[in-house]
Amino acid sequence: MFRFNHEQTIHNIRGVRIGGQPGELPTVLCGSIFYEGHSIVEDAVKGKFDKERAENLINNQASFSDETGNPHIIQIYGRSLDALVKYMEFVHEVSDAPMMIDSTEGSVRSGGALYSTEVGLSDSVIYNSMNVGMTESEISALKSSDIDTAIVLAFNPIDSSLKGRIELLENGSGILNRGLLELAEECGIKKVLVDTGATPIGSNSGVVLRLTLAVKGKYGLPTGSGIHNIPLSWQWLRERKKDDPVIYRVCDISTVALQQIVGGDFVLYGPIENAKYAFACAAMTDILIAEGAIEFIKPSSSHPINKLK
Amino acid sequence: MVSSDVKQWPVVKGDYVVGDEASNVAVVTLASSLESSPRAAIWGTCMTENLGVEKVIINVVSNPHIRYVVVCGMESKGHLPGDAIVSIHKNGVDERRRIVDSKGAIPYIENVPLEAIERFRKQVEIINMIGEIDTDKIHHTVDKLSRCAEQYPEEPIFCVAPSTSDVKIEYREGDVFVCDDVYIDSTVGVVIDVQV
Repeated sequence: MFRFNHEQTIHNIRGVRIGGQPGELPTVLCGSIFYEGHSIVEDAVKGKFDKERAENLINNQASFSDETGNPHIIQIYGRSLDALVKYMEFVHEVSDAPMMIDSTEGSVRSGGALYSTEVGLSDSVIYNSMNVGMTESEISALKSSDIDTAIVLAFNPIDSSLKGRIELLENGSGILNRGLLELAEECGIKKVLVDTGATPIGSNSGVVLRLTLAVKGKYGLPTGSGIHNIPLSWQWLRERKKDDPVIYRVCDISTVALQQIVGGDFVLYGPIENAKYAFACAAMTDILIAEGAIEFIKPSSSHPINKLK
Repeated sequence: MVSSDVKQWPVVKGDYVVGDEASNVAVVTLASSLESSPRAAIWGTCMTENLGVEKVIINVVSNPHIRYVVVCGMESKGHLPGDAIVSIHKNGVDERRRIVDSKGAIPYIENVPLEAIERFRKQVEIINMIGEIDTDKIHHTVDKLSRCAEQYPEEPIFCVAPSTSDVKIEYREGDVFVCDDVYIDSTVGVVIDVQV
């Protein structure tokens, strides 16, 4: 194993500690709920859903988190602002975990940020994400909100190489007039989580792993990704899944370990239904990393190495 | 980059089925999975306004028989790849390779040469049926257009994404190289940023 020479930042997000040297803190796992096509959602625009099933899924993730020591975050996807607000209200009611608000629409994300400010929830919210596609109105809304924690997405649509992604973070890579890290600071983001930006196999997919080392090596910032999107978009695997869904699951869950082994601090592991598998995989990998790094790091008391026998 | 080495069609993999390769029609069903017509040259989904649209362009310009691209099915929310296909055909890309007037989240084209984008705009007509999921109507459109035009009077363009394996980076020190200034000393297991 290895340790970073650069000092590693540790953020505290509503009690969840994230970042640090490999083997120091348990990997934080983020399960997605209310995502597109999620069977518990009855009306994705109005935000109607099966509350009992939603609560069970959240409690299930929390149970695995308690058992393994890997902290959890609830990633909420909202197609509309109405829906996102309803989901946020519900998650706040049933869980103490931080929530990561996510939408493909910038106006929905920024609306969620303003809503969380209005009702005093902003210290529980992680904005997902600050990215190259943000509009001025989204930036302005984020600035006027109390949100201070955000995912910064290192996805560079015109240069997906490692260099291109680093440039996007540092100087905007010719797309933005300043780097995403500077933009985050302007927006009042004090706790930056860098998402290395999973891209499909054939489109520099492996850079998502190498960039984890580079970002932590250069900036010491907590880093991770939604790496499960790589098997999700792999056509060959999707074909094999029709014959044997286990093949897909093996590849899907193994991505959690891949992100961890290069020093990742958090993993967006996909549908929250997969908590059972993702937490087991993450806990095992955390133990291996901690045992491999034991000569230069002391794992925290809540680390799986100290919780699971 | 444009390559003369790649001659197989379709050039890039994706969530599609190939029908009659000599058909004049390609069908993009956006985020909807719809029953395909064997009379279309190629029929598949497109979920994203950047990498997804690139694949559509690469597979279209490499088959001069294709003269129509039917864009149908439901839009992928936020990404709006249908809008991106319509916009790139109508307006092209700007100097930063952003699709002009596209409303999607990150509508940039990285891996397709400008020559291929221009060829796409000239070679095909877009049949805008965004939102349509009635397969009878879509199949009817395919039937109507599948054999109604001559093939495009120029050679196919075969483009492949630039391979980063062709890009060699000089590295200076450390026994495990990560990037420009980040190395791992594997003996003691320390990741070093040489600028620190």
